[in-house]
Amino acid sequence: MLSKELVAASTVPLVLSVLTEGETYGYALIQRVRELSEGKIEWTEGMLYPVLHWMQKEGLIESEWREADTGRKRKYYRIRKEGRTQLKDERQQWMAVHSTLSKLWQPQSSSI
Amino acid sequence: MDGRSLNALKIMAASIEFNLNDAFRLWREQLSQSPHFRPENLDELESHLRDSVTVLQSKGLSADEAFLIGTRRVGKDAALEEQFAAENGGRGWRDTAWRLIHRYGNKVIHLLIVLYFTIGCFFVWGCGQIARMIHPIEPGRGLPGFTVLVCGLTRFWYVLPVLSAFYVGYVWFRKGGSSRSWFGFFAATTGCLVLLGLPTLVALLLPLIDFLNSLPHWLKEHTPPQ
Repeated sequence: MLSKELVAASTVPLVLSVLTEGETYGYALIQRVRELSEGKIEWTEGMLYPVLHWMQKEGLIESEWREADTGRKRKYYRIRKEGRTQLKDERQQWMAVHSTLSKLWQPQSSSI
Repeated sequence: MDGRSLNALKIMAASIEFNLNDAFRLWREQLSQSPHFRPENLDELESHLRDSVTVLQSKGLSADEAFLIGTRRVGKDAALEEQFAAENGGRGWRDTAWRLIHRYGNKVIHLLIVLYFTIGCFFVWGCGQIARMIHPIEPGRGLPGFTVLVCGLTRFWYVLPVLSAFYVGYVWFRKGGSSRSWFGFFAATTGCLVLLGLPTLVALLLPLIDFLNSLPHWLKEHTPPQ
Protein backbone atom coordinates (compact mmCIF):
# COMPACT_ATOMS: atom_id res chain seq x y z
CA MET A 1 0.00 0.00 0.00
CA LEU A 2 1.23 3.50 -0.82
CA SER A 3 1.62 6.17 1.83
CA LYS A 4 -1.23 8.63 2.38
CA GLU A 5 0.90 11.53 1.17
CA LEU A 6 1.87 9.83 -2.07
CA VAL A 7 -1.73 8.78 -2.73
CA ALA A 8 -2.86 12.38 -2.18
CA ALA A 9 -0.12 13.79 -4.43
CA SER A 10 -0.87 11.37 -7.25
CA THR A 11 -4.66 11.77 -7.22
CA VAL A 12 -4.92 14.63 -9.73
CA PRO A 13 -2.62 13.10 -12.41
CA LEU A 14 -4.29 9.72 -11.95
CA VAL A 15 -7.80 11.14 -12.30
CA LEU A 16 -6.79 13.15 -15.36
CA SER A 17 -5.07 10.13 -16.89
CA VAL A 18 -8.08 7.86 -16.36
CA LEU A 19 -10.35 10.51 -17.85
CA THR A 20 -8.22 10.65 -21.01
CA GLU A 21 -9.50 7.08 -21.62
CA GLY A 22 -13.03 8.52 -21.75
CA GLU A 23 -15.69 9.96 -19.50
CA THR A 24 -16.53 8.02 -16.38
CA TYR A 25 -18.20 8.26 -12.95
CA GLY A 26 -16.78 8.15 -9.43
CA TYR A 27 -17.32 4.48 -8.67
CA ALA A 28 -15.81 3.35 -11.99
CA LEU A 29 -12.86 5.70 -11.48
CA ILE A 30 -12.02 4.10 -8.14
CA GLN A 31 -12.35 0.62 -9.62
CA ARG A 32 -10.15 1.48 -12.59
CA VAL A 33 -7.36 2.85 -10.40
CA ARG A 34 -7.62 -0.14 -8.06
CA GLU A 35 -7.36 -2.45 -11.07
CA LEU A 36 -4.42 -0.60 -12.67
CA SER A 37 -2.49 -0.40 -9.39
CA GLU A 38 -3.31 -4.03 -8.57
CA GLY A 39 -4.92 -2.92 -5.33
CA LYS A 40 -1.95 -0.82 -4.19
CA ILE A 41 -3.84 2.45 -4.53
CA GLU A 42 -7.07 2.47 -2.53
CA TRP A 43 -9.03 5.67 -2.81
CA THR A 44 -11.77 6.42 -0.36
CA GLU A 45 -14.94 8.03 -1.59
CA GLY A 46 -14.64 10.71 1.05
CA MET A 47 -11.33 11.71 -0.48
CA LEU A 48 -12.14 11.32 -4.17
CA TYR A 49 -15.34 13.34 -4.50
CA PRO A 50 -14.04 16.53 -2.87
CA VAL A 51 -10.97 16.26 -5.16
CA LEU A 52 -13.19 15.80 -8.22
CA HIS A 53 -15.27 18.82 -7.17
CA TRP A 54 -12.13 20.87 -6.63
CA MET A 55 -10.79 19.87 -10.07
CA GLN A 56 -14.11 20.87 -11.58
CA LYS A 57 -13.95 24.23 -9.84
CA GLU A 58 -10.45 24.70 -11.24
CA GLY A 59 -11.79 24.01 -14.71
CA LEU A 60 -9.73 20.84 -15.28
CA ILE A 61 -12.73 18.58 -15.68
CA GLU A 62 -16.47 18.95 -16.20
CA SER A 63 -19.41 16.88 -15.08
CA GLU A 64 -22.92 16.05 -16.12
CA TRP A 65 -25.76 14.11 -14.47
CA ARG A 66 -27.02 11.50 -16.92
CA GLU A 67 -29.21 8.46 -16.81
CA ALA A 68 -27.20 5.24 -17.04
CA ASP A 69 -28.31 2.02 -18.76
CA THR A 70 -29.61 0.80 -15.40
CA GLY A 71 -32.05 3.73 -15.32
CA ARG A 72 -30.30 5.36 -12.37
CA LYS A 73 -28.76 8.80 -12.59
CA ARG A 74 -25.01 9.09 -12.38
CA LYS A 75 -22.63 12.01 -12.47
CA TYR A 76 -20.19 11.56 -15.34
CA TYR A 77 -16.87 13.39 -15.41
CA ARG A 78 -14.82 14.24 -18.48
CA ILE A 79 -11.51 15.99 -18.99
CA ARG A 80 -11.37 19.53 -20.38
CA LYS A 81 -8.71 21.18 -22.51
CA GLU A 82 -7.26 22.82 -19.39
CA GLY A 83 -7.10 19.39 -17.80
CA ARG A 84 -5.09 18.00 -20.70
CA THR A 85 -2.63 20.88 -20.39
CA GLN A 86 -2.36 20.26 -16.65
CA LEU A 87 -1.82 16.56 -17.28
CA LYS A 88 1.01 17.36 -19.67
CA ASP A 89 2.73 19.41 -16.94
CA GLU A 90 2.09 16.75 -14.32
CA ARG A 91 3.45 14.08 -16.61
CA GLN A 92 6.69 16.00 -17.12
CA GLN A 93 7.09 16.47 -13.36
CA TRP A 94 6.35 12.85 -12.50
CA MET A 95 8.66 11.64 -15.28
CA ALA A 96 11.40 13.88 -13.90
CA VAL A 97 10.98 12.33 -10.44
CA HIS A 98 10.83 8.84 -11.96
CA SER A 99 13.92 9.40 -14.08
CA THR A 100 15.90 10.85 -11.16
CA LEU A 101 14.98 8.01 -8.85
CA SER A 102 15.71 5.45 -11.55
CA LYS A 103 19.20 6.88 -12.06
CA LEU A 104 19.82 6.94 -8.33
CA TRP A 105 18.59 3.44 -7.72
CA GLN A 106 20.11 1.81 -10.80
CA PRO A 107 23.73 1.64 -9.57
CA GLN A 108 22.52 0.83 -6.04
CA SER A 109 20.49 -2.16 -7.18
CA SER A 110 23.34 -3.35 -9.43
CA SER A 111 25.82 -2.94 -6.57
CA ILE A 112 23.55 -5.05 -4.35
CA MET B 1 -42.23 -24.15 -9.24
CA ASP B 2 -45.97 -23.49 -8.78
CA GLY B 3 -47.59 -20.07 -8.99
CA ARG B 4 -47.87 -19.61 -5.22
CA SER B 5 -44.15 -20.26 -4.61
CA LEU B 6 -43.29 -17.87 -7.39
CA ASN B 7 -45.53 -15.23 -5.84
CA ALA B 8 -43.96 -15.78 -2.41
CA LEU B 9 -40.50 -15.34 -3.95
CA LYS B 10 -41.65 -12.17 -5.70
CA ILE B 11 -43.04 -10.81 -2.40
CA MET B 12 -39.77 -11.68 -0.62
CA ALA B 13 -37.74 -10.02 -3.38
CA ALA B 14 -39.96 -6.94 -3.17
CA SER B 15 -39.55 -6.91 0.60
CA ILE B 16 -35.74 -7.08 0.31
CA GLU B 17 -35.81 -4.28 -2.29
CA PHE B 18 -38.01 -2.20 0.00
CA ASN B 19 -35.69 -2.74 2.96
CA LEU B 20 -32.67 -1.80 0.90
CA ASN B 21 -34.35 1.38 -0.28
CA ASP B 22 -35.29 2.11 3.31
CA ALA B 23 -31.67 1.59 4.34
CA PHE B 24 -30.48 3.98 1.60
CA ARG B 25 -33.04 6.54 2.74
CA LEU B 26 -31.98 6.29 6.40
CA TRP B 27 -28.29 6.46 5.51
CA ARG B 28 -28.92 9.56 3.43
CA GLU B 29 -31.07 11.16 6.13
CA GLN B 30 -28.28 10.60 8.64
CA LEU B 31 -25.75 12.32 6.40
CA SER B 32 -28.13 15.17 5.59
CA GLN B 33 -28.16 16.14 9.29
CA SER B 34 -24.72 17.61 8.70
CA PRO B 35 -24.56 21.11 7.16
CA HIS B 36 -21.39 20.12 5.29
CA PHE B 37 -23.16 17.99 2.70
CA ARG B 38 -24.97 19.68 -0.14
CA PRO B 39 -27.92 17.82 -1.71
CA GLU B 40 -25.82 17.24 -4.83
CA ASN B 41 -23.03 15.69 -2.71
CA LEU B 42 -25.58 13.33 -1.18
CA ASP B 43 -26.97 12.43 -4.62
CA GLU B 44 -23.49 11.53 -5.80
CA LEU B 45 -22.59 9.53 -2.69
CA GLU B 46 -25.89 7.67 -2.85
CA SER B 47 -25.34 6.89 -6.52
CA HIS B 48 -21.87 5.58 -5.62
CA LEU B 49 -23.21 3.46 -2.79
CA ARG B 50 -25.92 2.02 -5.04
CA ASP B 51 -23.27 1.06 -7.64
CA SER B 52 -21.17 -0.53 -4.94
CA VAL B 53 -24.12 -2.49 -3.49
CA THR B 54 -25.20 -3.68 -6.95
CA VAL B 55 -21.70 -5.04 -7.68
CA LEU B 56 -21.50 -6.73 -4.27
CA GLN B 57 -24.94 -8.30 -4.76
CA SER B 58 -23.89 -9.58 -8.18
CA LYS B 59 -21.03 -11.38 -6.38
CA GLY B 60 -23.60 -13.29 -4.32
CA LEU B 61 -23.93 -11.16 -1.19
CA SER B 62 -27.34 -10.56 0.34
CA ALA B 63 -28.84 -7.09 0.30
CA ASP B 64 -28.02 -6.52 3.98
CA GLU B 65 -24.41 -7.69 3.62
CA ALA B 66 -23.87 -5.68 0.44
CA PHE B 67 -25.26 -2.57 2.09
CA LEU B 68 -23.12 -3.03 5.20
CA ILE B 69 -19.91 -3.49 3.20
CA GLY B 70 -20.84 -0.70 0.77
CA THR B 71 -21.38 1.83 3.55
CA ARG B 72 -18.11 0.78 5.22
CA ARG B 73 -16.27 1.34 1.96
CA VAL B 74 -17.83 4.76 1.50
CA GLY B 75 -16.48 5.63 4.93
CA LYS B 76 -17.59 6.64 8.38
CA ASP B 77 -19.96 9.61 8.57
CA ALA B 78 -17.48 11.71 10.56
CA ALA B 79 -14.62 11.12 8.12
CA LEU B 80 -16.84 11.88 5.13
CA GLU B 81 -18.13 14.99 6.85
CA GLU B 82 -14.58 16.18 7.49
CA GLN B 83 -13.63 15.80 3.83
CA PHE B 84 -16.74 17.52 2.54
CA ALA B 85 -16.47 20.23 5.19
CA ALA B 86 -13.04 21.06 3.80
CA GLU B 87 -14.56 21.24 0.32
CA ASN B 88 -17.68 23.18 1.21
CA GLY B 89 -16.06 25.16 4.00
CA GLY B 90 -15.40 28.52 2.45
CA ARG B 91 -18.15 29.00 -0.06
CA GLY B 92 -19.60 32.29 0.99
CA TRP B 93 -22.12 33.70 3.36
CA ARG B 94 -24.81 31.06 2.83
CA ASP B 95 -22.62 28.26 4.18
CA THR B 96 -21.49 30.41 7.06
CA ALA B 97 -25.09 31.34 7.82
CA TRP B 98 -26.17 27.70 7.65
CA ARG B 99 -23.39 26.64 10.01
CA LEU B 100 -24.25 29.41 12.45
CA ILE B 101 -27.93 28.45 12.34
CA HIS B 102 -27.00 24.83 12.91
CA ARG B 103 -24.78 25.77 15.85
CA TYR B 104 -26.71 28.57 17.52
CA GLY B 105 -30.24 28.34 16.04
CA ASN B 106 -31.72 26.40 18.93
CA LYS B 107 -30.18 28.74 21.49
CA VAL B 108 -31.27 31.92 19.69
CA ILE B 109 -34.82 30.61 19.37
CA HIS B 110 -34.81 30.00 23.15
CA LEU B 111 -33.80 33.62 23.68
CA LEU B 112 -36.58 34.84 21.40
CA ILE B 113 -39.08 32.67 23.26
CA VAL B 114 -38.06 34.06 26.64
CA LEU B 115 -38.45 37.55 25.18
CA TYR B 116 -41.91 36.68 23.88
CA PHE B 117 -42.82 35.14 27.24
CA THR B 118 -41.64 38.20 29.16
CA ILE B 119 -43.61 40.55 26.91
CA GLY B 120 -46.65 38.27 27.22
CA CYS B 121 -46.40 38.23 31.04
CA PHE B 122 -46.01 42.00 31.08
CA PHE B 123 -49.10 42.36 28.90
CA VAL B 124 -51.14 40.07 31.18
CA TRP B 125 -49.87 41.98 34.24
CA GLY B 126 -50.99 45.21 32.52
CA CYS B 127 -54.47 43.75 32.02
CA GLY B 128 -54.53 43.02 35.77
CA GLN B 129 -53.64 46.65 36.50
CA ILE B 130 -56.45 47.88 34.23
CA ALA B 131 -58.90 45.67 36.17
CA ARG B 132 -57.68 47.26 39.37
CA MET B 133 -58.23 50.77 37.95
CA ILE B 134 -61.89 50.21 37.18
CA HIS B 135 -63.81 51.75 40.05
CA PRO B 136 -67.43 50.83 40.61
CA ILE B 137 -69.68 53.83 40.13
CA GLU B 138 -72.05 52.79 42.89
CA PRO B 139 -70.76 54.13 46.20
CA GLY B 140 -69.73 51.54 48.76
CA ARG B 141 -69.45 48.75 46.20
CA GLY B 142 -65.93 47.31 45.86
CA LEU B 143 -64.28 45.31 43.10
CA PRO B 144 -65.43 41.69 42.66
CA GLY B 145 -63.57 39.30 44.97
CA PHE B 146 -62.04 37.32 42.07
CA THR B 147 -60.62 40.52 40.55
CA VAL B 148 -59.10 41.52 43.88
CA LEU B 149 -57.56 38.07 44.23
CA VAL B 150 -56.06 38.02 40.72
CA CYS B 151 -54.82 41.64 41.03
CA GLY B 152 -53.16 40.70 44.30
CA LEU B 153 -51.35 37.82 42.65
CA THR B 154 -50.09 39.71 39.58
CA ARG B 155 -47.18 41.13 41.61
CA PHE B 156 -45.64 37.63 41.66
CA TRP B 157 -45.81 37.12 37.93
CA TYR B 158 -42.30 38.37 37.29
CA VAL B 159 -41.14 35.05 38.81
CA LEU B 160 -42.06 33.07 35.68
CA PRO B 161 -40.02 35.13 33.16
CA VAL B 162 -37.08 35.02 35.60
CA LEU B 163 -37.34 31.23 35.84
CA SER B 164 -37.56 30.92 32.05
CA ALA B 165 -34.49 33.18 31.72
CA PHE B 166 -32.59 30.84 34.06
CA TYR B 167 -33.63 27.90 31.91
CA VAL B 168 -32.39 29.69 28.76
CA GLY B 169 -29.10 30.38 30.55
CA TYR B 170 -28.85 26.65 31.17
CA VAL B 171 -29.59 25.93 27.49
CA TRP B 172 -26.92 28.41 26.35
CA PHE B 173 -24.12 27.35 28.63
CA ARG B 174 -24.77 23.77 29.65
CA LYS B 175 -26.89 21.94 27.11
CA GLY B 176 -25.61 20.68 23.76
CA GLY B 177 -26.42 23.07 20.94
CA SER B 178 -27.53 20.37 18.55
CA SER B 179 -30.64 19.30 20.47
CA ARG B 180 -33.82 20.87 19.17
CA SER B 181 -35.61 21.59 22.45
CA TRP B 182 -37.14 24.97 21.63
CA PHE B 183 -40.51 23.57 20.61
CA GLY B 184 -41.16 22.13 24.07
CA PHE B 185 -40.09 25.41 25.66
CA PHE B 186 -42.39 27.36 23.35
CA ALA B 187 -45.33 25.04 24.21
CA ALA B 188 -44.62 25.38 27.94
CA THR B 189 -44.39 29.19 27.89
CA THR B 190 -47.49 29.52 25.72
CA GLY B 191 -49.35 27.20 28.11
CA CYS B 192 -48.27 29.41 31.05
CA LEU B 193 -49.47 32.52 29.22
CA VAL B 194 -52.86 30.93 28.59
CA LEU B 195 -53.10 29.86 32.25
CA LEU B 196 -52.27 33.39 33.41
CA GLY B 197 -54.23 35.17 30.71
CA LEU B 198 -57.59 33.44 31.17
CA PRO B 199 -58.12 34.33 34.87
CA THR B 200 -56.82 37.83 34.19
CA LEU B 201 -59.32 38.25 31.39
CA VAL B 202 -62.13 37.13 33.71
CA ALA B 203 -60.78 39.47 36.43
CA LEU B 204 -60.89 42.31 33.89
CA LEU B 205 -64.35 41.46 32.57
CA LEU B 206 -66.07 41.12 35.96
CA PRO B 207 -65.72 44.81 37.02
CA LEU B 208 -66.49 45.87 33.46
CA ILE B 209 -69.75 43.90 33.48
CA ASP B 210 -70.54 45.32 36.92
CA PHE B 211 -69.87 48.79 35.64
CA LEU B 212 -72.10 48.33 32.58
CA ASN B 213 -74.87 46.78 34.67
CA SER B 214 -74.96 49.65 37.13
CA LEU B 215 -74.68 52.32 34.43
CA PRO B 216 -78.48 52.62 33.61
CA HIS B 217 -79.32 52.81 37.31
CA TRP B 218 -76.68 55.46 37.87
CA LEU B 219 -77.88 57.46 34.85
CA LYS B 220 -81.47 57.29 36.08
CA GLU B 221 -80.43 58.64 39.48
CA HIS B 222 -78.25 61.39 38.11
CA THR B 223 -80.47 62.61 35.29
CA PRO B 224 -82.29 65.78 36.35
CA PRO B 225 -86.11 65.41 36.35
CA GLN B 226 -87.83 67.14 33.46
